[in-house]
Amino acid sequence: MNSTHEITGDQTHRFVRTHPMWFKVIRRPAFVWATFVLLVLYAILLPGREAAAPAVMIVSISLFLLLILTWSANVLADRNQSEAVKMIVALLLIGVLGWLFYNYSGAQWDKVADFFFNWEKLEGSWWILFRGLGVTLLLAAISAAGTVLIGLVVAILRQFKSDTLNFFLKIYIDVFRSVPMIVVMVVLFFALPYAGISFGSILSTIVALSIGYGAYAAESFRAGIESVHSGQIEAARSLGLSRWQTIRMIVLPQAIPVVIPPLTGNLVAMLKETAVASVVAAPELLKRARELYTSKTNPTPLIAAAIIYLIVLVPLVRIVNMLEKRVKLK
Amino acid sequence: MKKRGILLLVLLIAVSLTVYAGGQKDDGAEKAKKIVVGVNSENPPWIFAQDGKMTGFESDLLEEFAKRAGYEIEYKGAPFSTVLTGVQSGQWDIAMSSIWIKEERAAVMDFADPYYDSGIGLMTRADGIRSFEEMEGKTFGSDTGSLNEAWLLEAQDQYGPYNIKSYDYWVDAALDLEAGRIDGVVVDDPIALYYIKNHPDSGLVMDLYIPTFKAGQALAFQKGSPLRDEFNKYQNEMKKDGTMAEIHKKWFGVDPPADSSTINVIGPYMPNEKPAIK
Repeated sequence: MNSTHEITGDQTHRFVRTHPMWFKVIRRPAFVWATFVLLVLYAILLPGREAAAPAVMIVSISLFLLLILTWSANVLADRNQSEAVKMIVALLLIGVLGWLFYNYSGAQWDKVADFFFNWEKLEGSWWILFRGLGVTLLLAAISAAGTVLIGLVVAILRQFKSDTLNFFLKIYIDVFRSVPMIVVMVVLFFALPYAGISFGSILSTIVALSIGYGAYAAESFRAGIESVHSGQIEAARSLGLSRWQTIRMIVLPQAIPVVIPPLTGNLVAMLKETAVASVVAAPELLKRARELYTSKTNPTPLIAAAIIYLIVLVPLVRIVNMLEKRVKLK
Repeated sequence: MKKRGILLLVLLIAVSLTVYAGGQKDDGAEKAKKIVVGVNSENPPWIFAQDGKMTGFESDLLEEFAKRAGYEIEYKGAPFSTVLTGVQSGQWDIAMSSIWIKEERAAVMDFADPYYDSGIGLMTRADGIRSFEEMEGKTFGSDTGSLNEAWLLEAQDQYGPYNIKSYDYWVDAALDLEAGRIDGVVVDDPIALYYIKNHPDSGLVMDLYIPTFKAGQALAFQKGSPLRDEFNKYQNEMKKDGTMAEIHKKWFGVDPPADSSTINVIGPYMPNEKPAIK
């Protein structure tokens, strides 16, 4: 079914492939609609949950699944199809998959709702969760400042190209990228007092997160700094700029757009890791959610906490992406 | 350049806030009027969070003491295993979370007099195992670092082999039990009975008691802390004037047994003296 027979006298078109016949057919609107109607009929005829033998059920549902997936793929992969139509098809697909799961998976949906989405049980307790959120945000904000500070300092120090300095900095980075944050927090909170230093829950968390994520941030900053061509640095130095001036005026402004994506990733991970602070008695969001979970014996508070994390983090990530674009355009 | 300046200023503020936050720890409850108490805040009926405040049997006991002695209480909620570590290293002045008096613990911290005689048992599903002999090959849960877990480890020779799952908070074990993921939870019987009373449709029962494992529950203090003797004084007062009996009735619905440590003064515990374990 090769279409090379369509070659004209011009030799340069010898290797141009045009679409085979069957491909053109499946993309025709008539075909798409016809198959859609057939699928709808199939869906109506699908057996109910208890209606048929398990083997029959499995075969008919799997076949249906396969057909709707291929049908959707046909529409979604069509470059000539409008985006609006593709969106409708995508939503329909999600809806149908959801309906299939809901209908046939044998889960007890009323019990799931009762257990995980029991909003009445949470009434009057939302303010407790928000108090926890306040602590989480405080921890995250100060730790973020610490992380960025440490990361930047370490990355800049590495630019001084001293083997000795690099040796010790590399040890720091490797150690704190390997050690779990919970261990660092516990050591700072429980073990340091024996050495005479007493950090409270908040301070232990902030120090642990800053040092730990500072190591990741240092790597991000390093990637950014090294993305600036060394030729520019040489040119700047030969023009008489000092090392510090070069870094400040040439390197950093170009490095920052490169740094922002991985750095944001680090900071988002760090904010989520504040949940671990409950081990050193910090009353942050997750701990409050757990306390509610115990006193009401219902995991809905945990779902509520997850939603709160989402509401806080998703806009933050979007805002940072926007900032990154603006810095790039400048 | 102005932007750089602002950035530096913000960082400076952040650093100074950090230092301020660190400096908040007060030194020694004897001098300050505030006492920091480390608890497992998910431990009904002893101590748990309700409407943002700590409440429970132990919380009532402690608040009464604080009222009489003129202290202010600050609670810190942490997993049980860290509650004991915290009082040893001085992160809090008192550890309070249905802690049993045991020799190894008394060696590194000072216990007050017991306020409750506790025992443990195996909480199971109503349609689950009926005796200890049936434990073999099943899975059981308890909270990490507790004596309940210690019993499970010890009893492997007798009733095992079986699997042990450790939880940071025992309530997760209870929910796993309900869901059928484990076959039993070893837990203090008052805690289990309180849970079953408040969750009648959980399908759980507590009728497998472990009679050989009993101890008194008490608050734990840092070794050598004068707060311990001060607390004992007030606790003994409360035992004699009926306050303890009232608290018991409020949380358990019945009067304490006539010979229990809830209303009798058992002790006193001096440093280095072995605590009385039944």
